Amino acid sequence: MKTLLLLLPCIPIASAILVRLLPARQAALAGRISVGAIVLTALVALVLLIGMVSGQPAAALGGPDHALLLLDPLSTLMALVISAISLVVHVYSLRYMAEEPRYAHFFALLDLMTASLLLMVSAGNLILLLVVWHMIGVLLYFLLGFETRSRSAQRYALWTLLTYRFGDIPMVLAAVLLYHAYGTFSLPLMFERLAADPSLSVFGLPVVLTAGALIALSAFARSAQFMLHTWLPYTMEGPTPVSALMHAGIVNAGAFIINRFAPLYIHAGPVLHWVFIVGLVTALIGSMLMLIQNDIKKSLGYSTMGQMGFMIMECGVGAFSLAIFHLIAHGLFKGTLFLSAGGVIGDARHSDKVPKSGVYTFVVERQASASKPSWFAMAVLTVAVPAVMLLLTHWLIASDIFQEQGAVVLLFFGWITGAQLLYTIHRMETTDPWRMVTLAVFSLLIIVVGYSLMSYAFGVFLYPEESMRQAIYAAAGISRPWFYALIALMTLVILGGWLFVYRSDRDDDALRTSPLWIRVYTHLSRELYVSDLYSLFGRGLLRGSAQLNRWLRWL
Amino acid sequence: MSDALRLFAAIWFLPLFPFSGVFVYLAGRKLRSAAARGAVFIVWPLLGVSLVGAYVPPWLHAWALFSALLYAVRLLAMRDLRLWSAYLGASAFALLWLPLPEHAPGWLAALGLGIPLALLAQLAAVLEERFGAAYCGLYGGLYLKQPRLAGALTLLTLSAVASPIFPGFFVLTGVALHAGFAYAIGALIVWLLWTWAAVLLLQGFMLGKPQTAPVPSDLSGAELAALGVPAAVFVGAGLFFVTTLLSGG
Repeated sequence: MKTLLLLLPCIPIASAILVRLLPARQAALAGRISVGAIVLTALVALVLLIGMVSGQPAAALGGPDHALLLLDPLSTLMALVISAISLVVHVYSLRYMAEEPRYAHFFALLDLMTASLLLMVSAGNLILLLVVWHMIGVLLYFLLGFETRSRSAQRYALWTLLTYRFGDIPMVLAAVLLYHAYGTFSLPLMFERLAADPSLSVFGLPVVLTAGALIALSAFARSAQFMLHTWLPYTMEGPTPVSALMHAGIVNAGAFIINRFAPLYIHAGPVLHWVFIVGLVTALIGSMLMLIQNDIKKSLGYSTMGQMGFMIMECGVGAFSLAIFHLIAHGLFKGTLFLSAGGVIGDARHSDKVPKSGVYTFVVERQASASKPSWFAMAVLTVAVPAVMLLLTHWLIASDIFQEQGAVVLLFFGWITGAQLLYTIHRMETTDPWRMVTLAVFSLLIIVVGYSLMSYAFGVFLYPEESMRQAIYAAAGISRPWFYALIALMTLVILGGWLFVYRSDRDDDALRTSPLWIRVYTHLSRELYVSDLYSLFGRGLLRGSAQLNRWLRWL
Repeated sequence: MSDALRLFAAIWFLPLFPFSGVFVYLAGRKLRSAAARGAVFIVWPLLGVSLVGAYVPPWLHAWALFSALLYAVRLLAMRDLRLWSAYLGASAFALLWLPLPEHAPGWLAALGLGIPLALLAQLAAVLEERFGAAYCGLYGGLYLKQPRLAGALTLLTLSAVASPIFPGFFVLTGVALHAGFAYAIGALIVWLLWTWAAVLLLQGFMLGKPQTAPVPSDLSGAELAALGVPAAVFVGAGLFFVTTLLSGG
């Protein structure tokens, strides 16, 4: 199994070298070699995962004291996800990039990126983790900036690289602290020593809390959390397969890295609360910004930001395994969505006809409706359905789910998703609204209950020791009064939202033309000026640099 | 040699502002021969690390970080590859002051930062020979018309700004590991600025104005090998000596 683990990153690296060495006229062959290598990689990952599911014990290549790669549930599961998504992207690129003069170069970059991601999830050594963590940023820069004729693609590729490099800084600092405290780069040995003495201080700083916060900050940059999100929606300027890989796989690194350092986070509860708040703010702002986009890929970009917010929030409440399930589910649907979006954009460029499908007739032509459910009934449904789900989960899965703050996510996810869905239905004009509401509620029930069951299964697989699972939840736990206060606040927000929809419907356009509404819309349409702020800083620094060069000409 | 004298000599060779002016003048302006400039990039920091003793006064750490930051910021607006490499050298070599005494930088660390700059000096000469100047933004489309030259420039620039898996990456990680925490943050900000400057430089050569006919020739196989083989050996050596580089070199 250890040989297979070593093979896992080696196959795509070998493929990248081979593809790069092929003569230019053999470009088509390069694509086929690359796809073949990723098929092989995916098979190796599948065998490793099957081995792990069937009871193979976790192990480290090089031994726990000098671990290089880790063979554990998290690495094998993530390896399969990465190779599967990479395979989809590779196959799609075979034809999508066919007209690209640097066809083989593109596949070599994709292979190197796949190898780096595989190394990242299986790294058992801090230095190797730092190398690949950094390498992913560099490779992503070349992939996003692949369209060299596009100025904007180059500009946003640079933004992405700089955000990634900004995110590398805390990771290196965390490595510095952990190395000084525990004297090893080997992750298994470090976690062992950390468990024995989690209260060490270095440079006058509490190691576990500071390193936890630094790793979280690094995760925020990778997973586009608010204030470090500006690069994500603009990665659309790169080729569609790269957007798919980006949104389906690379951006999920935040949840992975928090899971990888789970033994550290069980001693860093306050950091998890911070993670929760950042995730919550990102989910809300990402969703709001998504709503006002008129570009399909940018809208999907902000949707990814919102999803990343949820994922980080899940980590913040101790639902680490749920975050991994979310990561996989999101990766698969977002990857395929992006590729489909690429197809739609391609079709639209080749044909100016508006497709007059059933959906078009329904949405654009606005068929007359027979009736509309009352806002109050819909609001009650929005609040009640997730609560029923929570009770069902409590009854079906774990009687102590109220003690686990994962319940908040369940409720929050149910509420937000349910509210989005029911708002939409409420605004739609359909001949049989209650039928649609029933179907929607039923679908939501299936999704959320399914989600809970899968999350439980993932938890058992990723953290087989019950004590570890409990420790994560305990670290993320908040006191009961805070828990109820949070639930009450969310209920008020949802009901307030419904009241807003009701007033908006009743007063027709009065609300939407009010100065407050227009001001909010204006600020949101400028994406809250975050990227403007960064551009201003960047331009200022460049001007300062030029001025310094003039002043210090000979020095 | 007394400690004070040794430190005074070292600040010229692991150049600290404004003493760095000598190094920048030599490597960036005065020396025309690529071989001589390459030699300066290698010999200068080697002399520096051999002069730095076990004791470095704390105020000198602050001065070194200031110098490294100053040149990293200045790098952002620099478009001439000669001066760009000289500024990068001044910034990089100043960082070698930061590790604490028991991890004082060794000659491997100096070589890890100096060799890519020496190779970049050769490449600057190749660009000057073909285009008359190694100035980014003056002519574009390098990757279209001279793909080998563009590839070599990209890899050597990445190597010079300490990207993985080049030895500079391990040298900088070693600096962060063995400097004080606040200095580690400063060193990492310098590193971030290098990346920014490197991308601006590369974009200046790859994008922008299309080249007008007659288009200069690309690197020949022999020229590519002359740059590629040492670069490959350099990477291999870096991976072989990774532990030494991480502990100060």
